[in-house]
Amino acid sequence: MIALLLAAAWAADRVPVGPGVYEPLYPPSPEEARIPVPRFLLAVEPVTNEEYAAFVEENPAWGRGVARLYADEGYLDDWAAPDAPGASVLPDAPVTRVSWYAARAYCRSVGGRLPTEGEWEIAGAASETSWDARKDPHFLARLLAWYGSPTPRVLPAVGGMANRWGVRDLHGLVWEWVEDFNASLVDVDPRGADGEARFCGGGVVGATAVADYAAFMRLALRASLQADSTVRNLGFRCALDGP
Amino acid sequence: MITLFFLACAVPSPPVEAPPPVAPVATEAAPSPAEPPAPAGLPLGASLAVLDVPLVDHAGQPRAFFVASGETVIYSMFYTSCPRACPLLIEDIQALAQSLPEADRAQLRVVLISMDPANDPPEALAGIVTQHHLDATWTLAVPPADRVREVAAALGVRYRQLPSGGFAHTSVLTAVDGEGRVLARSDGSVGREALEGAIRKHVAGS
Repeated sequence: MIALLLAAAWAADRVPVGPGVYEPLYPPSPEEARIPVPRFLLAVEPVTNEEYAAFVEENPAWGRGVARLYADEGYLDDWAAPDAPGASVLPDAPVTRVSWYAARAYCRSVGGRLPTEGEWEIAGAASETSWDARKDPHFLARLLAWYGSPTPRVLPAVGGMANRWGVRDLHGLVWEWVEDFNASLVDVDPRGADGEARFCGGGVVGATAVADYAAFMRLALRASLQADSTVRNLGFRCALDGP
Repeated sequence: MITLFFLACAVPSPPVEAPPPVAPVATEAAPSPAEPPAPAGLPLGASLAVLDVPLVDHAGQPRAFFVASGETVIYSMFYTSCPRACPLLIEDIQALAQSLPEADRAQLRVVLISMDPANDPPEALAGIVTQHHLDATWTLAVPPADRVREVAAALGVRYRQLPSGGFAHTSVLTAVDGEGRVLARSDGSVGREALEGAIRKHVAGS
C-alpha cells in the first residue's frame, strides 16, 4: 500500500530531460569527450524525509540497523528514531545521510533507478531560463556561493525554482548520488599498446570547461565517495528510462 | 589532480585509483578521508556475506555472491575479453596461491566476477578456466547486468565501460574469511603486502 502511494507520487512528479550530450570535465580518452545522453525521466524533487520514512516502514531492513555493508555508521543518524525522522528534521526536506545502496534500493522500490552522472549533469546544466547555463557567469556564481556556504543544521524543505527542464533543487539544497559515482577517475589500462599517448597527453590537459569549477567540485565529491558513505548534505532523486 | 593522471601514465603498473582530491574544495560536502590512503572500501571486519546479488558460475549453475564454506576467499572482478590487465590479474592470484605452503593452498578459494554480463555467458567464463588451467578452487561467475555496480561497490572496484566496449577498471583484490568478513584489500601494489600477510596468517590458522 505504502509502496503504491510512493510509486504514484513519483509517477506524477517527474519530467522528461534531454536528449543531450554530456561532456566530462576530464575526458579520459578522446572517445569519451562527448557522451550522448538519451532522453530520460527525472524526478522533479529529491526524495524527502517523509518519502524515505514510508520506504523504511515498508522495508524495515533499511532502518538505521541496516547491514554494515550497505551504509556506514552515519546512516539516518539525524532521524529521531532508527526508523522514523521524528521532529529533528523537516518532513519535506531532502533525506540525507543515505548511502548509494540505500538510494538505489529506494529507487528500485518505486520502479525507478538512480540517474547516471551524464543524466544528472545534463539536468543540472540548466538554469531557470537556459538549457545550458554552464558558461553563464550569474548561474555559476550562484552555484559557487552555495558550494561555499555551510550546510544549515536543519535542512530546508524542497520547492526551489524549476529549471528549464522543470526540475527543482538540483543545486542549492543538497548534493545528489548518481548511479555511476565510482566510474570517473578510473584510468584506461595504461598497458594499452596503442592508446598510451592519447590517454596520457590530450585527455588530461583538455578539461572541456575550465570555467566550470562547479562541475569540478561535483566530480571531486563523487570521486571521494564510497557506496556506503553517508553525508549530511548528500541526498538523491530517482530517474527512469525515457518516454 | 593533473599530476596524478600523469603519474598513472608514467608508471608501468595497473591503474591505481586516484585518492580523493576533494578535501581542499568541498569540506562541507565530502566525508573527511580520515584513514590514510589505503585501498578504499568496506572497513576490515565488515561482512560481504549479506550482498544478495545472484550469480551464475562458469558451469552455468546459480550461485550466491558469498557461499560459507569455511575457507578464505579472494574476490576480484574481470571480463573475459580483457586484453592485458585481467590475464595479469589471474597470474598474479595464481602466484599468490603458489606462495602458500601446499597444505594451506587447499584452504584458499578464488572468486572472479565479470563486469561484462553482455559478453560473458558461462561458456565464456569456462573458456578462461580452461585457458588458464584454473583448478576447482576457482569460481568465475557473472551477475545480472543491472547488478554489476553493486558487486563493484561492495568490492571497492571503480570501473567504466568504454565506447569501444572494453572497460577501464581498478584491479582490487579483497580477501574475506569463512564468514565473509573482510580481512584485507589491495589495489594494484597498494596494500598488497598486507593482503598477502593476512591471507597467509588466516589460511594457516584455519
